[in-house]
Amino acid sequence: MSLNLQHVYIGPSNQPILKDISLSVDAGELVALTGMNGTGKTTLIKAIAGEQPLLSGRIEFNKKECSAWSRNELAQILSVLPQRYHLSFPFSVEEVVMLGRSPHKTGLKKDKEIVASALKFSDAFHLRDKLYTQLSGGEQQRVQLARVVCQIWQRRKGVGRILLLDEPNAGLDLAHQQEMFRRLKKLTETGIAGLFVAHDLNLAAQFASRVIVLSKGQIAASGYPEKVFTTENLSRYFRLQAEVTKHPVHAGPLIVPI
Amino acid sequence: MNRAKAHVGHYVFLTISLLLAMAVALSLGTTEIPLKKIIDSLNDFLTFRSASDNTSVILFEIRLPRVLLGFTVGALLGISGAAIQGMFRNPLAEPGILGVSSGATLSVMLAIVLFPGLVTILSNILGLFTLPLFAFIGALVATLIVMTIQAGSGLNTSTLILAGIGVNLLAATGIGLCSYLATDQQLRTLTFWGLGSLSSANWDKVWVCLIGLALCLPVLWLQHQCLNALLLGDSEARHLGFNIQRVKRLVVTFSALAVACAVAFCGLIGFIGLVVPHMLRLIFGPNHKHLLIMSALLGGLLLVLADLLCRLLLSPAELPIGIATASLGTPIFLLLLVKSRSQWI
Repeated sequence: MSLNLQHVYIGPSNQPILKDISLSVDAGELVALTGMNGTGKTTLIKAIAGEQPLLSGRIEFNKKECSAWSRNELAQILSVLPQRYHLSFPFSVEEVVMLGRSPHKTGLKKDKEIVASALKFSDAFHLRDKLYTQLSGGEQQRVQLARVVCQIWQRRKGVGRILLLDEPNAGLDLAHQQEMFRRLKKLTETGIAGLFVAHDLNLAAQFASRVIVLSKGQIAASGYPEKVFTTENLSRYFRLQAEVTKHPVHAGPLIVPI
Repeated sequence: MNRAKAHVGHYVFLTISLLLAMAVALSLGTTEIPLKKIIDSLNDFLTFRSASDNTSVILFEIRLPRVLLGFTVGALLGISGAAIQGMFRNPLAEPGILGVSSGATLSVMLAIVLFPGLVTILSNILGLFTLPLFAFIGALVATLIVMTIQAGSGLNTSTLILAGIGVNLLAATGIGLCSYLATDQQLRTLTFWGLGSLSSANWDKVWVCLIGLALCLPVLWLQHQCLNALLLGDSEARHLGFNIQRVKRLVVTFSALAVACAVAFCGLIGFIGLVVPHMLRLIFGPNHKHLLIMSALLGGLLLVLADLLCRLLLSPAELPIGIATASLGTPIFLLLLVKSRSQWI
């Protein structure tokens, strides 16, 4: 297991934000983390990224506890796309993505190749010489995605890589959402444990190998999309009146709010 | 386009402009020294042949130390501005605006007015390093106050500027109190810091500032990768494997040291730290690998020119250099503030 959480509690001890979270993500899996606003999805991503102190429990990467990793070692296998970013200085797109290579010592030539591949991955290669600050929100999102992906681009023998994405589809048009998830799924199949936060349940149903639903700081449901996305679960954990039918093209569930 | 090669060109251009500005600054003044004479005298100077005619004395005891001090102080202010702006992720952050410079000034004044005995004792041990030491303490305290206030507010530009105003006001009150308590003779020393001047330049001060520059520039430059990553955000820099706590401590300490050297010998010279990195960023982008070194070069260049202007305008009298840099810097600061409403808040 690349990513493993055991009985994780976070927050003030009298009123924890997250309670008893145990989950694991294997290399090659793309897992969706979903739930209503304020149920602790971002907090969980931050906790895994080391931004939130744990009240109790443990987090392991590649079977080694998180505190046992050195900063630089961890940065070589764990990459995080935050929900918000504040870059307001006029870096070029290529320079922004190149920052993703800072934990590595692979040399400028190799780094440039990887940056180019990552930019193509997120369909931002044509923007490479533009200034980041002049891009639209969706374009900036794609550049940030390229940066995050190029941080763990290289396959390494016997070392699982982990990708955490907090609402990666925010600001993207529908075509780019579909294409990005198709490519992310392919990318994780090269040996990356992927965990993403998404509010679009149909997107989760279409691309996630498993779904984890948070409700009131706890894991309320988890498993294959067709098991988790039932009319009953949707009304209980999402307060959503919806019909669930079979997707006409792929086999998964299709959620139609009514 | 090969950017690395283009940057070499920019470095060469800046260096040549700097040398030209220095040559002009050496030659112009109340007595004009022709360039030929300067080159001859420099030749003598470097080969340790003593020349004792009047022009040589003016050149080596007055003009050359002054020009070199101008360059060093400008470079110190330039790099501290560039590093602090990077760390605060805000192009408006500047030692003067954040109150770092006035903190340093206050600290020096307090020492002179309230503890003259201590200053005398320390001077016997530390010599010329005494005033920079006091300035350093003041600069460090001011930076830490601003950082503490800023930490609670996320990335708010208004909070940063307001914190700077607060620290500046506090320092101004202290400075006012010092001038009230000061004796007549102390008062004359104090006014010198208020407006900033290079007129007291001598070789000893040049050496101390050069040592400061030789410490600050390499230490800050070594942080350039992390400073770049910090522009993405604190957490993002951490996710990229940087020890941002350590880097921030280094940046705070060494930019305070840079400001301290400048303030201790030349008083308050504002806006170099604001204008220089800003102009460079417009042209070369925010990559600290080049920004820090270029800020040193351009900061030095600007201050040498500003000082020349101050010497020439009212010759034989002198305009305080703080007035020159402020009249250049304030409009740019205000322009940035107006622009920042849409971009940085």
